Amino acid sequence: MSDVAATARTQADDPTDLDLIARWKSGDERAATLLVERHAEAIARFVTSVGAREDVEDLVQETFVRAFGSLDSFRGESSLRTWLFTIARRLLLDRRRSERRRGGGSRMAMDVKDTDAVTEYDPLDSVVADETERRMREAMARLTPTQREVFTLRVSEGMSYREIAEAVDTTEGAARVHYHNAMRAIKEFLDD
Amino acid sequence: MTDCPNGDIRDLLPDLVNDRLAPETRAEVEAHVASCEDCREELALLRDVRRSMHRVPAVAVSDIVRALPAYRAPVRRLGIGWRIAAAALLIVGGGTSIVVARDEGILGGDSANVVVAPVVQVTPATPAVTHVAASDEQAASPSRSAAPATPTPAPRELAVASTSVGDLSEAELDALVNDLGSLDAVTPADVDQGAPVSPLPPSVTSGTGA
Repeated sequence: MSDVAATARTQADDPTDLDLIARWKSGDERAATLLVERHAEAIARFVTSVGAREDVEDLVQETFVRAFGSLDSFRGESSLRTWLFTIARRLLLDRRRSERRRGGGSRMAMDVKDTDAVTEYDPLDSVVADETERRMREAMARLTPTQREVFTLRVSEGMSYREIAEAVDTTEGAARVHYHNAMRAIKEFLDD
Repeated sequence: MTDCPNGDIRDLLPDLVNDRLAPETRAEVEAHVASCEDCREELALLRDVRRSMHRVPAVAVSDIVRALPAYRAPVRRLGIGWRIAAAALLIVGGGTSIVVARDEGILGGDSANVVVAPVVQVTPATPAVTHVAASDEQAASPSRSAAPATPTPAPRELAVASTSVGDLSEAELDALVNDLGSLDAVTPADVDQGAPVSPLPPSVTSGTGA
């Protein structure tokens, strides 16, 4: 097989996000399925880690609906996943604010303000695995919301500080500081 | 649990966990970790945290896909060039012409500059506009002119052709005033839409450079 043929096959087998977006715009609905399959789990991990509870699937779905509704505004300057994290994060914040305005009980432990270091964060009650994981979640619960977002994106998704800064609307340097502060806080909790 | 003093290596541990390091960098980090107990502990901690984060309920992809909106291409607004072309077509279609006037005191001061009578002559496919000055014959025939002359406060010449009012003869001035006074009565039906309008004779357009 020639190099050109091999390259073409690789692109067909593993199209980029931008390729899939172009295909979806031209009417290929299968491309949308591939995009959702590629990113839905990461979005679910993120919203779960930063405080969403039983409405995780709803949040993930709403994230994709909003993203696909405005894909023309996605220029590819960041990765699609980073853009999706940005949308998911805003959705979480909006829901949290509206719940506060209604004065009802919160289904999400994530707080809008960064000053509340300790929340009732415990999004994984239904999937408790073992003592180590429970301790990890407790440690995460002691982080500020921004520390939790940054730490989640860095550790769970392996995103760079630059990507994280874009997703959580901060600077690269601040993201690095948030990450190391989060790591220190987790270590201190586990050492107690 | 203490921190390794090598901050650069510590910064790369999450990338090692997520397998996002280039082979050379990965080898470097792994070599450091092999000899650093602090980094080994931190790496183990990161793996535990990551494992706990990856326990999430399954997401129904098909439900999400069904909820997605259909793609709607954005509506593109016409550019300024097309708007100009459309305006030119409208003018030609109506068979009208435009007269634009000069600065203050069109009938009064020596400094008064004219009066341009640009008659639009355009081919439908392009926004190109040809300005042709008004003639005496035109002045006597309101059907060749459409837009009213508008005195402007500053010495602003809007047209390709201009000259001093003082250069005009009495007859030409009278014809011009009559022409301006009759502009409101112009209707598209009054205009000969077929033939282009003749330019002004040299007596009116001299010195315009048009």
